[in-house]
Amino acid sequence: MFSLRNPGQRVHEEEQGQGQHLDSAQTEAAFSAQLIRHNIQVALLAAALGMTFGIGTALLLFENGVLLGAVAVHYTHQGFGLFMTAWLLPHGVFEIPSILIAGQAGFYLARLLLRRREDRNVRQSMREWLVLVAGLAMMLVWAGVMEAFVSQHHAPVLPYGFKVAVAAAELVLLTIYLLMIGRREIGTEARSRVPSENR
Amino acid sequence: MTDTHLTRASTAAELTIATPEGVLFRLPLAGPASRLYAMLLDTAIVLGMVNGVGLLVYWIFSKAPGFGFMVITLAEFAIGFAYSALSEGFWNGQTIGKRLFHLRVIDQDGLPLRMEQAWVRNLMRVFDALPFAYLVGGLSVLSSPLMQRFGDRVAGTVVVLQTPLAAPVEEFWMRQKYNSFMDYPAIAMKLRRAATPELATLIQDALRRRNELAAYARREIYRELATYLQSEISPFPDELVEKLSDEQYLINASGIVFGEQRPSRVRG
Repeated sequence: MFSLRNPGQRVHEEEQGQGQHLDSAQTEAAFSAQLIRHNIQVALLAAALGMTFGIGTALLLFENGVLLGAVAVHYTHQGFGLFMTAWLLPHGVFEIPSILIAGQAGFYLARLLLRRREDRNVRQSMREWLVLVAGLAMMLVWAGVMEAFVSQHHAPVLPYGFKVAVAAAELVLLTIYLLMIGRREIGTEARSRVPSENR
Repeated sequence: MTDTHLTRASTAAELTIATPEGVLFRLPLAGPASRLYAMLLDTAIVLGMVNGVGLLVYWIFSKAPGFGFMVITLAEFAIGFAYSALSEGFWNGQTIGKRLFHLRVIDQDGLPLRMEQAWVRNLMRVFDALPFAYLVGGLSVLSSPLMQRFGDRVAGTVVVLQTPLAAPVEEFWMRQKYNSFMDYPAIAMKLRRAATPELATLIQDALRRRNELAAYARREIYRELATYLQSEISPFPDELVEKLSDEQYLINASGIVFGEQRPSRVRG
């Protein structure tokens, strides 16, 4: 169903054919909307497939991971590592964590289902699932915008070093954000959990 | 009265809620068919909204079709998920489709739906809709005693049928100052509790249509209703009932059922 194309040819096409398939901000905007919609659909499916006790979530993550890994190895082996890093990371640093969070939401749901006899508050706990889904949807909006407007521009328009630097900056911001949001959640959770567990 | 029992029996499944006070609530659950109709109607409404937004956006963005496409795609996507979730969340468990088919989403403990439950059950549609035509969700409804699709199971919600019940209008029989049934609060309370919406409506309709009925039909109907109430539901003492006409009996009874004052033991 899927055969890996020759990376050298693709890199050449991407670098030369800048004016062809993405000629303006117009097309990029339309492209970004499609990306956002598709990515959120996939992520939401991964989160909802927790209903299959996590099996569906695992399969979905596995498939996406294998494809990404195969492409990465293929390009790197042929010496296009920098091109590929600059091609994928500006949006990838948000996209990949968000699909991981979707997987986390799926497994969280699976755990709730498996342990529903002991902890019968599936209803209350689904709030956390909802928070994860809402957060990853926001992240995927940003990833979609970056993928269409930044990732598809290559050297000489956008130097690879600049693109990787942008990705690194995004990664730092995202890490700081996730660390801070996590800390605040633990604080409120600890306060609110005490009475609810005594029910 | 057999009619009431028949309509009751026609709904296969019921949600029974037992409160700590020992009161039992029974709510008829909605089957897959009416939910499907409501969903089709809602889908049509969403398509209408999306196309309306689309026309507007194309007009606004006529100089920038790419951005127009972006706005439409995202709006379509957001409306598709948010329509049901927001209308159920803000409108006490109903969308336009559900309202027209007399459905309501409630918490499975009988509490009102919370906003996060509305979002969870609607986001889980991506799973229930698998692999096509809501096959997974449909099988889940058929195999669940509470007729829940997977989204309902996770959110802890059920879809119930709501028999439309007109709010009681103030009628001549409610204006009477003295109601001799109030002298027997225990029996009156029993009547008030036992009156199903159908029975209450029946009594009210019989009284309201007093002047449309021929005299002999009126006598007959009032006698049957009063006899039924007296023998099956609220046996008021004979010395009281003997003094009342059948019509007065029904007027008193509906005063008890619809009256603002609750018969209470404390008073008197």
